[in-house]
Parts: sequence; structure tokens; C-alpha cells
Amino acid sequence: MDGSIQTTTPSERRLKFVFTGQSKDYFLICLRTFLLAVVTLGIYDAWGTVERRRYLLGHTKLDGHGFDYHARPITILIGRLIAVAAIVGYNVMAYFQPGFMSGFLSMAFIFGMPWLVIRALRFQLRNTSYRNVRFDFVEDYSRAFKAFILAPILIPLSLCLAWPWVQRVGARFIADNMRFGDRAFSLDMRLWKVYLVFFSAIACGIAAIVIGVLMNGSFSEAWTVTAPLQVLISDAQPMVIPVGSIICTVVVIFLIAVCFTVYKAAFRNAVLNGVTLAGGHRFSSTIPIIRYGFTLCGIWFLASISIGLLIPWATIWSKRLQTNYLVMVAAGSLDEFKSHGEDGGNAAATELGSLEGITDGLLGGTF
Amino acid sequence: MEPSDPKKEIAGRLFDSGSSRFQPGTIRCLGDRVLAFDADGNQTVSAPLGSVQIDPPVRGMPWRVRFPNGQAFESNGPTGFDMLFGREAGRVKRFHGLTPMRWTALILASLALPFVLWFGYPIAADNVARAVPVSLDRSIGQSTFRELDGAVFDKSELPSARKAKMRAIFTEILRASDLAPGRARLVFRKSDYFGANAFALPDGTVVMLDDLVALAESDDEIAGVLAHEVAHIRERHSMRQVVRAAGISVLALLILGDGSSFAEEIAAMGAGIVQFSYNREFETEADLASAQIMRKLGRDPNAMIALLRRVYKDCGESCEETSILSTHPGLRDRLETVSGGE
Repeated sequence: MDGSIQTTTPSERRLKFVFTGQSKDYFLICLRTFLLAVVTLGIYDAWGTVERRRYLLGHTKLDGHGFDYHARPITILIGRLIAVAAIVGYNVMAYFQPGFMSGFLSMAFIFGMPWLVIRALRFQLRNTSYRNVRFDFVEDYSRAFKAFILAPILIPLSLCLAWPWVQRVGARFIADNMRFGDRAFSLDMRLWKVYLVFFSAIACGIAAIVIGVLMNGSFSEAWTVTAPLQVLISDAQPMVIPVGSIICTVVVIFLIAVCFTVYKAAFRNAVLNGVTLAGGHRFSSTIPIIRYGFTLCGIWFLASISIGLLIPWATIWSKRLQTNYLVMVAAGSLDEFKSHGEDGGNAAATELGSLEGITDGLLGGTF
Repeated sequence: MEPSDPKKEIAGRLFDSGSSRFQPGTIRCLGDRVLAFDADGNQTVSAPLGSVQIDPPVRGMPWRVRFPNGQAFESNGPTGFDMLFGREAGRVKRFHGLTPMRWTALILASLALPFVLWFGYPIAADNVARAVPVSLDRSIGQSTFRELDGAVFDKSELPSARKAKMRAIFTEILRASDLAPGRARLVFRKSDYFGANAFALPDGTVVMLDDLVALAESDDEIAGVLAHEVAHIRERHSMRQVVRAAGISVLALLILGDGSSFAEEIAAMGAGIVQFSYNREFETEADLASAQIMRKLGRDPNAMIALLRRVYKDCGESCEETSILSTHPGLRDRLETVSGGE
């Protein structure tokens, strides 16, 4: 899919990322951690989260080595308890002082959100390792504020046209502050290809809506079902279910989700193709964006109608699709990475305060 | 160094201190020390068992051992560590992987939990509500009444003789109800929004609406409604409802907070249905107390239901039946409650 031909000098090696996780294993892990979380009223989920993340990272392999995740469950648990206390406290306050609290919340969101994002990234990256070396994230509040609060103002002002550009500001902020051991990442990405996909996706999305509305007119009247049961107590009329227009709506929503996913995949390719790691290491991501969009949306559609039973399977498939198209173009050996700091980074996680886990509670699934 | 027992040795990769550079190596446990050796058999590190960090594998992953000096060892496969570290490995491994027995126990416990919560949770929540000072009920009730009074209530148009008579009945009921003096008061309002209705606010205000009085055909009917509302105040149903609802939200957040948005929808629906059931439980409690007070006063406990039937005369059979989506029990069940099966 990616047209550009990458020249490989003799000293460069193309190392494929491989995802080796199995749906069956992951399903059993999810089931066990979910049941344990239920019987412990949610407390065990901190342990479950660590285990699930360790499984997914451990089976993401590069050059025969898996990644690992080292967060302590107790840190995540304390963070979540603080998050729950904050939510409960906010609701109690809002009950007595609604006006003041809504103002307070918007201020807290504007100034607190970049800080939370930094903290979340730092927590997750510091607790992620590859070959005995940890990742890290350098804090830079003012740049985070620009990337996540100021830049997004342009999205409504430009009628969404600035969206890919704003996303690049965020991606560049994250890449530039990310570290692997003592080496820095940097991002130099071209936007024209992303914009090409962006406009195509918008055009396809609008086309799907227009066709859906046109279809809906003729389709829905022809195909309705009268419900045999009275669901509501009060009304005496039989319920008429417009099967045709329900199917139309589902199909249109599915197609819009596909357009969005295709765009996200194109963006992901562009970011990963533009990332470099100090020492001359490059990456190459060649996700076939259209096939990826349909497959991923199909998988998650099935997962969403399965009362969650297929979520582990969908997660494994998504990881496989994302990981198996990623290649590291390594300049020489991967033996040269050193941990940042004299203690090998082992104590880095333990010295982090429990506050770090809050972001995990609030931003749980985003990373 | 003593000659090593090859059975108590595990092969893997040995990483340099804080580095991604590795070489093939082995690891051994000697007494309470953990030793690592490179491919030539030279010892590269030795540390007390208590100071090394042992990361047990999640399915399919290698064991990882981190030494305090930053060196690390990664096993070639997921097996062998039980033999090497014995009890220590068993301790760190305990929760990773379950025997069929433990799976069964876990599933049974998960299934039993709803029953424990169903019967235990209301009791626990009511104990919390009991600890809340009554002054909080008062301030919530007063502010609610002020809001309603400004928005949906008009002045009552009842003749003052009728009001005086109902006040006398109210005093009689208060005395029979064992409610602390001054804890409840009766006010009359007219409301197009609520129509024929009456309610109790947590501060002790009982609001009687004109349309309901107009439908009443006897004093007993009015007295039954007043006794029902006084019971709501005496049993602090509003505060108990608030505490139960808040607790359910927190529980749902804890148990399903990390789940999909679909699971959250289901949880919200479930929580709603549970709260309706609590409301019906409180209504039944108030009906029972009303009947008790009415009997004490020598009045007819069933009269209230006759009045309610007149209020809901257009509703027909669906108001007679109890539904899981209604806030009050059906009229047939309520009649059975107040008549006490007589």
C-alpha cells in the first residue's frame, strides 16, 4: 500500500514486528480476570489490567524478544480509588453547588487534561520495557497544553479541515518526548498523503449517508414487522418495527465507521513511517488501509453484538492486524541501547507516586 | 563454587546491566542466593533471593529475573522455575492459571454474588442512611419545596373549613404515628402539572393537592393518604433512596467501569430497574404503616385504595398489575397490603 520504496543500506536490517497472542489464551485470561473482578467488587481488576497488558505486550515481538509491562497493580488500584473518590466528591458538590461546579469542571478540564495526558504517557511508557531497557516520557506541560488544548481550537474554526494537522501536532509532541533508554525518538511526517485519505474518507462517508437516506425512503415502507407483544404498558396500539430502516441505519453507521478507521490507519502508517529513533533506526508501517478498515469494523461489530464475549478475540485480531505490518529498519545491532539512569531503570516504577495510577483510572483504555 | 546440579539450572538470555546487550546464560539457585553464569560457565552475578525481582510469565511468556545491579535474565521457555525456586516461584505464580477446581469455585462465587448483593446491599445502605443527620433531610426537603413552589405549585383554592378539618385529621395521625412532634407539617397546593396527587418531602412537608381532595368521598380516604405520606417521613424513605442509588452507581462504576460502553448501558438499565424495585419496596412499607395507623385510629385502612382507583380510573388493568418498570406496586397488591389479608 505504501508506495515509497525504502532504500536499505547494507548495514540496515529489516526486523519485523510479530504478534503471537492467541485468542483462546487471551479469552481465558479475560474471563478469569473479569470473574475475579466481579467477586472482589472491582478491586482485582487492577491486577487483571496488568495481566492483560502484559499478555498483549509480551506477545508483541521484535527480533525474537517480547515487550514487557511492569506497572504494580496496587499503584493502579490506588489511582482508581482516588479517581472514584473524585467522581463521587464532584457529584456530591454538584448536588449542592451546581453552577460553581460546572465552571470548576470546565476549568479543571482545560488545565488538568494536558497534565493528565503527560502523566498517563509517562506512567505507561516507564512501565514498558524491551530487552531490559525501559521507555520513558519527558514532561513538557506548555507543549502539551498547546498540542491538546490550543491546537484543537482550530478544528471547529477550520470546519474540521485542520483535523489531520492538529493530530500531527499531538503525534509530534508525543514522539519528540518519548525515549527508549537514553535514546530519543523524533517525528518528521508528511501530511499530503494523509490529507488525500482524509478527503476521500469524508466523501465516502457523505456518499454513504446520501445513499442511506435515499434507500431508507423506499426500503423502510416495504419492510416493516408488527410486534406480536405489547412492550409498553400504556399505549394500546401494536408496535410497528421498521426493519428496513433499522438495517439501513446500521449499514450507514458501519460504513461511516469504516471510513473513519481507514483514515486512522492511514494516519498511523504516516506517523510510523516518519518516526526515527536516535542511532539511525527507522520504522515502516504498511497496513493495507481499506482492507484493514473493513476487517477491523467487521470484527468490532461482531464483538459489540456478542455481549462482550468476542471482545478478547477482537482485541487479538486488531493487535495482529496492527503489529504484523510494522517493520523496524534497524541501523546495525540492537545491542547498543542503555537504560537511562544508573539503576537500570528498575526503581523508576516504584518511585512514582500513587498519583500516577489516577491517569490510568481516568484514561484507562486510551493507551 | 560447588559443582552444579544440571537439573537445577535453567538456560536463557543474560542481559548486561541496564543494557539491551545479551548473551546466552544460565541461572541457578544456591541456598538463598541466585547466581547467573555466562556461556563459558563464569559467574556474572550473585544476589540474595529476597533482592531479585521475579516476574512470573503470563501465558506463553518467558520468566524474567531482574537483579538489583540492573542485570536481567530471561528464560528460554515458560517452564522450570518451580523446580528452581520451589516455594518462592509457587508464591508469585499462584494467581496465574487456575485448576478446574478453582475455576468452578470462581464461577460459583460470581453467580452467588448477585444474591449476596440483592439481600445484603439494602441492609448495608440503610445503615449508612441511618448515620446521616436528619438536618440534611431537612435542608434537601426545604430547597426542593422552594423550587417546586416557584415552578409548578399554585395557591390552594379549597375552602378554609375543609382545610381545617384535614389539619385536625393530620394531627390525629401524627399522634398515632409516633413521629417526633414538629417533624412533619401539612400544606395545601394546587398543581396542574401533578394533578391528583400528594407527596412527602424529606424535611417533613406533606403536600396535599386540590385535585386529589376533590376526588375524595370520605375522611378515611384522605386520612389513609396522609398516613401513607407520614410513614414515608418517619421511615426516611427519601434519604434511604438517595443513599441506595448513590451506592449502586459507585458499585456499577467499580465493577463495570473498565468494560465496554455496551456493558455500561446494560449496567445503567439494570441499576434503573433495581431502583424501581427499591421504590416499590418503600411504597409497600408506607402502605403497611398507613394501615397500622388507620386501624389504631379506628378508621378504614382500605379507603385509600378506593381513592387511588378513582385517580387511575382511565388506566384500567395495567395500573392493577405490578410491573418491574413502575415506581409503585399495582393497586391489587396495594389493596392486599393495606387490608393485611383480611
